[in-house]
Amino acid sequence: MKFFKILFIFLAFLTAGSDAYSCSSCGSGAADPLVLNPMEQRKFYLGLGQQTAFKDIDSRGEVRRDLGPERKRQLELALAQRLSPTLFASLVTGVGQNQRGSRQQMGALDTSLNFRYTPLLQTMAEPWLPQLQLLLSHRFKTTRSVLDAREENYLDSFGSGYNESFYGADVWWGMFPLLFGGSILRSYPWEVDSQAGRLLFGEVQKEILTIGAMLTPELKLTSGLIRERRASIEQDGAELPNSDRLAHDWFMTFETQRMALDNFRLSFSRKASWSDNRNATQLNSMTLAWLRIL
Amino acid sequence: MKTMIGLLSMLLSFPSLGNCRILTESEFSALLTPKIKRIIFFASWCKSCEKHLSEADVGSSLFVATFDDQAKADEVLKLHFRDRMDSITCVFDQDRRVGEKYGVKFLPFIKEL
Repeated sequence: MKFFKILFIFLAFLTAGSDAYSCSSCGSGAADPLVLNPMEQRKFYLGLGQQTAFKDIDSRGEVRRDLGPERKRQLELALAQRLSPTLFASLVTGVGQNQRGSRQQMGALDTSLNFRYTPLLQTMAEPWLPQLQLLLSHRFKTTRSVLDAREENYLDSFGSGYNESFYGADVWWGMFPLLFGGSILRSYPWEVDSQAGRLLFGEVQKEILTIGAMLTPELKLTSGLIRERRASIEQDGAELPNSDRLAHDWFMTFETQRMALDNFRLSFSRKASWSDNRNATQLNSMTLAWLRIL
Repeated sequence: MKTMIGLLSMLLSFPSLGNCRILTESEFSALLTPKIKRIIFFASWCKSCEKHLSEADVGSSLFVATFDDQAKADEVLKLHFRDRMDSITCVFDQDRRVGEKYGVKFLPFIKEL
C-alpha cells in the first residue's frame, strides 16, 4: 500500500518538463547518485531509500536467513559543485535507520567524495560518439559497521567499516531512441584494524550495463544489470578461504522533471538476484530522490 | 615577448568564421530587432533541443549556442538548416554572459521577446 502511495506521489509530479540527461551508472545505486548535466553549476540531492527482504547467500551460493536488520531506511543528502566545464565534485552523506522486529536504531551513513571528469561530450552531429566520464571517488569510514557493531543483529551498523577509493569509466550513448551504455568501476580498499585483527577487504570490480528510453518527453526509463566481484579478504596478511564475493544485481530507474529546475528519480533494485552469487546479501531496494539545480 | 603577447591576443580575438559568432554585448543587443520574436538557447549535446531547432521559424528566431563547443554548435546547425544556413542568426555564448543575462540554468531554453 505504501508503495502505491509513493508511486502516486511520483506520478503526480509528471507534469511538463524537459529532457533529462543520463549516464550508465546514473541511478544504478552502484556509483555516486548525483551527476551534473553540462550546463549545471550546482545541484542538491535528497534521496529516501528503503531496503527489505534481506537474505544471506553463503560462499557456496546457498540462500540463508539473514541475522541483520529486517528493514533499513536511508535519508541521503548530496551536493554537487562544478569545478570546470568538464569536471565536477559531489559530497554524499546521510542518516540511516535499521529495524528488526520492534527494535530500531538510527545512525550516520558513510560519507563519500566523488569527482566526475567528462573528456568527451555527446553531440547531435555525431550520435555514435559516446559521452565518456571518468570517475574518482573515496568513501570515508565515518560510522559504525559490522566490524565494530555493539547491538544485537548489527542494528547499529550503518557503514562499510573501512575506507575505500574507487575509479572507473562510464560510457553512454544518449542520442538514439534507445539509450545505452556501460560502466566499469574498480576499488582500492584501505586496511582497517578490527577486533578480528588487521583486515584488508578485497578489491572490487563493478560492471554495469544499462539501456533506456524516453517513455514520454517527460519520463525516462533506464534499466540495467550490475556484476560486482570482490577479491578475498586478508586477515593479518593471510587470505581468508572462500571469502571472495560475487553479486549480480538488477535495477530500474524512472526519471523525470516536475518543472525546469527539479528532477525526480524513482529507483528499484534487487541485489544478488540473478546468475551466481557468493558471500552476498540478497535484498530489495527502493529509492525516491529529488534533485534540484541551485 | 610583447610581440608574442600581441600576436596571441590578436589570434584569440580574431572573429570566428563559423555560423555562431562571438559578439560583444552591444553587437548582441543590435541583433535584437523587432523582427526577432524569440531567442532559442541550445547546445550540440542537448538532444531535447533538437525539436526546438527543427520547428524554429528561422526568420524570427535568434539562436544562441551556450555551454558548448563553437565548432560542434555549427555542425548541429548545419545538420538542421542545410539549405537555410544563410538566413540563420546564431551567437556563440563564449563567456556565458548571454545565458546569465536571461537566467539560463537548463536547456532547451526559449526566451519569447
